[in-house]
Amino acid sequence: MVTEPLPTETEHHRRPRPFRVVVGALVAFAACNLAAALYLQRYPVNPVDHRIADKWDLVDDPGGPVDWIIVGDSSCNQGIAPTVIEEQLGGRAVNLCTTGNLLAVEDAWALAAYLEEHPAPVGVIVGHVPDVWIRGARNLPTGLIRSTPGLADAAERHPPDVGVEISRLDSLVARWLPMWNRRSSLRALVRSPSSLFVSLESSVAGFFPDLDEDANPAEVRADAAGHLDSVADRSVEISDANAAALEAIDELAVAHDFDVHVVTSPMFEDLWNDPTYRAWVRDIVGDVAGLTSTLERVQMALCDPTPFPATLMNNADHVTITAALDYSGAVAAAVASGAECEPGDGGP
Amino acid sequence: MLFNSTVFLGFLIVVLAANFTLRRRRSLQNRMLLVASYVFYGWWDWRFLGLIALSTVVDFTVARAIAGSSDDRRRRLLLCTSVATNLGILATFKYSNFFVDQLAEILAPIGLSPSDLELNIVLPVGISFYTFQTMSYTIDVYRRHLEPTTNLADFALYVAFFPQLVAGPIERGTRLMPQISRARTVTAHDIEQGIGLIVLGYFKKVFVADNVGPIADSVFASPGDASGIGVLVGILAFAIQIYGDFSGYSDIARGVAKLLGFDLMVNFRVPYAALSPSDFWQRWHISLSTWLRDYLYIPLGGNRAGSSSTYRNLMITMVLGGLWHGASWTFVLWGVFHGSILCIYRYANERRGVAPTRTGAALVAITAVRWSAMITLTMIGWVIFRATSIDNLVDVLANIGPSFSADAKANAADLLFFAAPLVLFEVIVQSTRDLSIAERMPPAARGTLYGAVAFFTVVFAAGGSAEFIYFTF
Repeated sequence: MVTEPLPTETEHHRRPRPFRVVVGALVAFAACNLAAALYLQRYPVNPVDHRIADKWDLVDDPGGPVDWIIVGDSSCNQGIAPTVIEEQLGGRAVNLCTTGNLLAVEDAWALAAYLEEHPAPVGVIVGHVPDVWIRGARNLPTGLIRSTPGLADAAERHPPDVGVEISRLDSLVARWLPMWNRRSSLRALVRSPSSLFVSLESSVAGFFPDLDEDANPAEVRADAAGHLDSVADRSVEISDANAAALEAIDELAVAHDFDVHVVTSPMFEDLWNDPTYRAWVRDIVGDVAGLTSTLERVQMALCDPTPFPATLMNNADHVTITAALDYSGAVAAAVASGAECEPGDGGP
Repeated sequence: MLFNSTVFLGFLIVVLAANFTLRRRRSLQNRMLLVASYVFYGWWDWRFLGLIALSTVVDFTVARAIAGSSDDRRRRLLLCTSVATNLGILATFKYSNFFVDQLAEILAPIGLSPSDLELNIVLPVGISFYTFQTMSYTIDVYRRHLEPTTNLADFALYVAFFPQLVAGPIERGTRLMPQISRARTVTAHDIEQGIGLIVLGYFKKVFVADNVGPIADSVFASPGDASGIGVLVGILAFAIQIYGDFSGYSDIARGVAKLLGFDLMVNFRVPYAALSPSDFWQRWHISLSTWLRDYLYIPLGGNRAGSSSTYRNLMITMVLGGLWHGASWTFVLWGVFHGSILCIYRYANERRGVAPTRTGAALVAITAVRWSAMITLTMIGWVIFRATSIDNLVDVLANIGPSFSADAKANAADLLFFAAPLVLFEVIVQSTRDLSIAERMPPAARGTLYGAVAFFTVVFAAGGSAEFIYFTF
């Protein structure tokens, strides 16, 4: 039987130069990492990373004087349109809302960082989903904080101090070693090279609306069911981290002479109509209102969630553009009234 | 201690530094490597250090006694002592649970509960490898192919040398002992080769095997859910996984050994390019296949006593080779399968006689046919090997079909993405017949390639350190 010759380790008689091999390897490895780091800073792959980087760019450079600063979570990121606030309250508005995982803590850090470099606004609107108020500091995504330059710096220097340790080394590693902490993004890029050099959509004054065709009624209902399932076991008390954040915001408001208006997010109408869920939300908002009543410049402006049908939402507390414009109007009206609400005061 | 773990990285740096520091003191260097090897092995479970020490002391003593005796009967008796000790250790720790389970199933009808007989013996990592390695040493001493060492520490290092201790290559005393006994120099070429082998090994294991493994796992866990072409994708994924995992380990072992001044044998030579079963076994897990040939097949008579004896010897060798992999009927069946195809090919070749010389298109065509046949047989073998039971095997094979679901397409896309670089590399190596193909590149360019490969390996490292498949053998 004829057998094929087997591959062998062939002597290549090339002068061995291990130093060049090692140096070449280290340089190539470092170059790949650096290229990846620079790419991800310019073209963030993860939409949340992109949104947060965009907002902190605005904190650093809002492009002119700002009268209304809107801070909060993702429900407010796509729910409060600066143009509507500007129309109804006057002046210029900027939406710095990010994600609920950063709690109200990030709202305080963003305001403090903004006020270091820029004149004080006329007012601040703080928009959160009710269950964000009960989340503790252990929920804070420290990796995300470390990898967002302005945010990492603000977390280190501004109150509230919620025990997030951010060293310079941590921040450097987070920003410059994406092969370590941004592997998901890099994998996604390599697997889909068609998305290379495609920028994620930029905001207009920080507003990232979802179009009405992005509505997802099925997801809204599933999300609502998930919320209902977990109500029985959950707290109704504002967490220490969020309470400290509101107190820090109040101090800034007193020092810089502006008012702070806390508003509750939009909500899927069927979820809001559930008696158990409604009672739970009102208990949470009641606890927050109990704290704000002790603060000088922070008040609850919109206590009850603003309900919307599933056809205008893509999860239980995120609205699409048509509903966002309506919700923004409700927020503006509540702020314009100047009145402090009580839980149980009906929304529109 | 897994090769793909950060603790191993720290361990290796310390060992390399110590090895370099002691480069002019061979004896002390060997003792350092021995201590390091015991630390490496004991990291899994320190309780099994006693077992490897027992095997070491028995074979060291027996080998010296064999060499010191001219009485054939006494020499045979001593050899039997070594073989019985090693096989006894293997039987106790690897096969007793299996035999007891089978006995329990037989006795169940007469009222003996299987749980009454359960032993739950833990399988020491690498036991199949080091027992075979020590047996080969005493057998070679018996055959007068090797003079036994008088240095227990050197012999203990031969048995426990950490780069190849837990998953091979299974090194012969004739090859490794001289390297231990003499002063070693780590040359610039060794460093270059070592780095290349380590980078390649981690790429095969971390980038390829660990990422395609879940595809195979999901298909073999639920063949009904995968069904159709999805099952074929799972089988291919396992073929890539086991090759990437095992050859990757061998590459890392050889690379680490190079950096310490040792040359371990090549264990894989592009096995999926094989054109026949005998060709496959000259390419796959070469250290085991040659061990079985030299210490089982040839002593049984090999092919020297006629066709019937040859077929019998092939079957015995392959069945025991299958059983070596694990205590399960699927491994036995895998051995039977490979023994059978070896016999069938041998029979066909004997009937055909001298093959006509072919060139050009005819050669290409016949090679393609031969390769297609062999790769199909190899895949069938892997289904048997990977199946968790006979029922699972039947289930997997029964679900192969023409349907191609969306999940199967996604798995196929993943498999293609992770396997393509390895397949391309293997094609290049096979077509050039050069395992050292990378050394054709200038050093700086080669280093650049290694750096880029290492970067993608890190990026695509699956979460956590996945164990090497052959650790369970």
